[in-house]
Amino acid sequence: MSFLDFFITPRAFAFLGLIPPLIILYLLKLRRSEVVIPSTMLWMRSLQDLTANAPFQKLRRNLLLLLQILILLLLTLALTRPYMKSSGIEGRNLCLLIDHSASMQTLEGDGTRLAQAKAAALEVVDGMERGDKAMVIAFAESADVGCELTDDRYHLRRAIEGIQARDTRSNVRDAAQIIRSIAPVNPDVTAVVHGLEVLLFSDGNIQEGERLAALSLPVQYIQVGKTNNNLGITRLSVRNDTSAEEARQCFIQVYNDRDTEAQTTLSLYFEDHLLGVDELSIPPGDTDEAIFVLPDLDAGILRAELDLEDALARDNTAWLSVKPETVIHVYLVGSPDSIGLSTLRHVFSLDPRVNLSVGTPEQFSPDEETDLYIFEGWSPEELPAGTLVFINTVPALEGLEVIGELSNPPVMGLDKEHPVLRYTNPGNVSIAKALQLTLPEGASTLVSTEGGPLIADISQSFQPMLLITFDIGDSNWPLHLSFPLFMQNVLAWLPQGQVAHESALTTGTPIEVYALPESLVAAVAGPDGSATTLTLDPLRPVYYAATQTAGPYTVTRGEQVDHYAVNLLDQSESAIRPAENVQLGSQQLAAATGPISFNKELWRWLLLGGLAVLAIEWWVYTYRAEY
Amino acid sequence: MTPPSTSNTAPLLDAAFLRRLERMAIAVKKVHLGAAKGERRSRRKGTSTEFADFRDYVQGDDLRHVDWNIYGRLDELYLKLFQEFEDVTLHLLLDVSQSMAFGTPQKFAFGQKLVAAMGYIGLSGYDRVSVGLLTGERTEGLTPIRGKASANKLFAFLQNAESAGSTHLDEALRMYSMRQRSRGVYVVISDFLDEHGVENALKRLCATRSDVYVVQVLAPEELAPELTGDLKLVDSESEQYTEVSVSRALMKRYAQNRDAFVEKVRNYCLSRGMGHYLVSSDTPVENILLDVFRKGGLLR
Repeated sequence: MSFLDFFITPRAFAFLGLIPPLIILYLLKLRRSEVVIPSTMLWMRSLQDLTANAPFQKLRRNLLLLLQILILLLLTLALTRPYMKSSGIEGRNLCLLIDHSASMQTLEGDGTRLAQAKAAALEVVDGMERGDKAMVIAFAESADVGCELTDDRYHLRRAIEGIQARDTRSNVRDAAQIIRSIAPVNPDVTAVVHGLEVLLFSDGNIQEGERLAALSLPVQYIQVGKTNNNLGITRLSVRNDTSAEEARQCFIQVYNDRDTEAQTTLSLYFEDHLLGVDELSIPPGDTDEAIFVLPDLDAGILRAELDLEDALARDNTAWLSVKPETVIHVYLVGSPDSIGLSTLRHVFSLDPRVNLSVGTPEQFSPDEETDLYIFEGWSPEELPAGTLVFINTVPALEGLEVIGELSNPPVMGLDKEHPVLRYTNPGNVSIAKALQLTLPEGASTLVSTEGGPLIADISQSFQPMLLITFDIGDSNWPLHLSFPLFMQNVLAWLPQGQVAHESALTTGTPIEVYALPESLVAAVAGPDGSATTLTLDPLRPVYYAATQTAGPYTVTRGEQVDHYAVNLLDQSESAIRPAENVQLGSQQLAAATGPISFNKELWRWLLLGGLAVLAIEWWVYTYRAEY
Repeated sequence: MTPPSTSNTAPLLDAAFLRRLERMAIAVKKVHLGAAKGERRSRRKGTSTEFADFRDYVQGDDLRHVDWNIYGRLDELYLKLFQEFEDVTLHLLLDVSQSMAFGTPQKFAFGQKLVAAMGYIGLSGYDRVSVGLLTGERTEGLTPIRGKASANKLFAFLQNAESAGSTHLDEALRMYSMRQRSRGVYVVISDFLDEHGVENALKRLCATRSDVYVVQVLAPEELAPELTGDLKLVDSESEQYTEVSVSRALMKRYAQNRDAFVEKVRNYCLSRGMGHYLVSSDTPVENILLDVFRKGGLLR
């Protein structure tokens, strides 16, 4: 880097050519006005006295010239617009993108990575000057705007200091979406903010970085963290042992991010009762698994713990909610020679949890044990209690009327958010014909076609009801994977089945809470001691979304208490080794080394210096000083 | 810069002022030998009616001066001596170097008036008045005059005088004393801004064994100069110049040096029995005579 590279307009150095004319002007100006006096004797003596007393006389004689040259130098330097690398910013719009995912809780020395990232961001805020603006976005699985674009350092500082760590993965999808909304990529769309620069404070383990790259904005990656001293539980599940009847096993996977093999003790607890201990020896960068055979357990929380101290403690514990095995009573009603009925019978008979009863419409009599009634081609006049599914038939409900028939209706729309359609995609199912009907008020279409619904949720208060408007036997749906999944979802949709026998949610996933006839409110207690009261809707589930902290959650509805386990269980977050280069799509972004630097222009200071010297020169000229 | 003209055609002193001057007289402390009869007590014994002393008779003495009463009593011849009254010479020396041509009013003009007034007082008191114009290394002089009738001659001489040349007081006084050896009263009017120094000149005055009065004239511009900015100060006599940038410090230093210079001349004079008066050229001559000289013992 040459000397001239430190100046934005080095051509302005040409103004230094004004120095010789300045000297000439000074010499011309020095033609002092002559004054004839009687005798110079006393004046000469006085001058000699002063000269003898004052040092740097030659310098002082030409002080004005020196000051004028200094002013010219300063002004010329200001015109060349020199700059220096600075940790401050100037006249820019900055987006401080701060990662507060689980891996940012890693301890680095005395503080966490998040604290380091916050400190680095605060440095940037402290370095802001007049005209600089910044915004703060904290991102993990989702993103929060801590502070809109502002030049108010107080609010920026508060926003940065207020960022709390989350036990979720690191994903810039939402953050990129927020940035896109104010600085769109499309040149035809007017940007709210021009010249936005993104400062990414992270340890580099982020998902969907390509969305950030797609913004086409300058991104500086400020890497925090050094250590990779971590072991973490990356999987915890309970499964039935296929070899031994009724036996349930707990499967735990532990990941070692260290550079050396790690020995650790894994303990499994059920509600603070130790169930088992296993010694693990995990190669560097690899995983090891432990399997515990579970005894019969009541409803409660299984907890797996690694007995060690490492940099990231959050992934040393994992939880799983378990319930005792329950039997679901399913009653199939329909014509015995119907293809649909036999298909359904086959699907449910494979599920060990299901106690299946099959009957014809003539034999139908409701009983209290049955959890799920499936009516195929026929519906009773009086609806029994429990969850009801109507296939190719319409129950007697107000507002629900058949108005025609649809031939070869294509699947046009899906409500994937509905629990019964989770993980399924019946999009390419062919249907010969379906009933065309109007839905009662409050019903929702789950799968739609042109002219009406194919599958609808027609639940009444506290009674879940589904309506399938076509004959399963007249479609190829049973041949698709989505059919058994749909039926599994229906079983899970039952009030009894809402909490599976074993369930664990990942952090950030909302908990669905359904209303009970005896309770329209639910109290949710979090692992951090937080307590929230939810008002429930009898028709649809209410989502409790504040599950960013890993741990056991308890949902209490009336006398019913349900346990939920929320876990990080993510190997990408347990792998805490900071990335030197963050992958933004196809582009690799190297970490900024040293302090975050910007080109800080110095011309204002030079101009101020010039003015100051000008003032001194005027003072010297006016008073000619005490010398 | 052209030096201001120093010739003056207006009368130096008006008639009313001259009449007031006639009531004044030069105070002479020492007794000198005079040149002619006058009103000053002389060291010479003479013919007045005022008794002075006795002395032994020697052959050739005029017998008319023998005190016969003593001869009758003592049978010894004694001569009776009487006090002689003679005139005294008033030496008025005016520095007419170029440096005296400055000031408002000019120091030279002030000196002209002062010499005229002093000379008139001397002439009115039947004293001999000798005027010397000290310029450079020479002296222009007025032949000693006596009597009020010569006043016009004095005034004409002064009015024709011009200021020119540099100051060399010592040399000029030496030249003057070679021409005028009579003792009396010396009044020297000058600014004493002599680059050759003033000590030798003052010593020479002291050596005349006369009553010496030094009148140091400085212009208001020298006592409180009003200069500002960057200046080239040109010496009116030597045409040497000094470049100064006027500052408060420089003005302070100038004032200190000016006071020290005046004090030095004064101390030198007083230590040798000479009178010293510092006057500003803007002070009226009448005030100088009445307040300064009379109180200082030069006039009575």
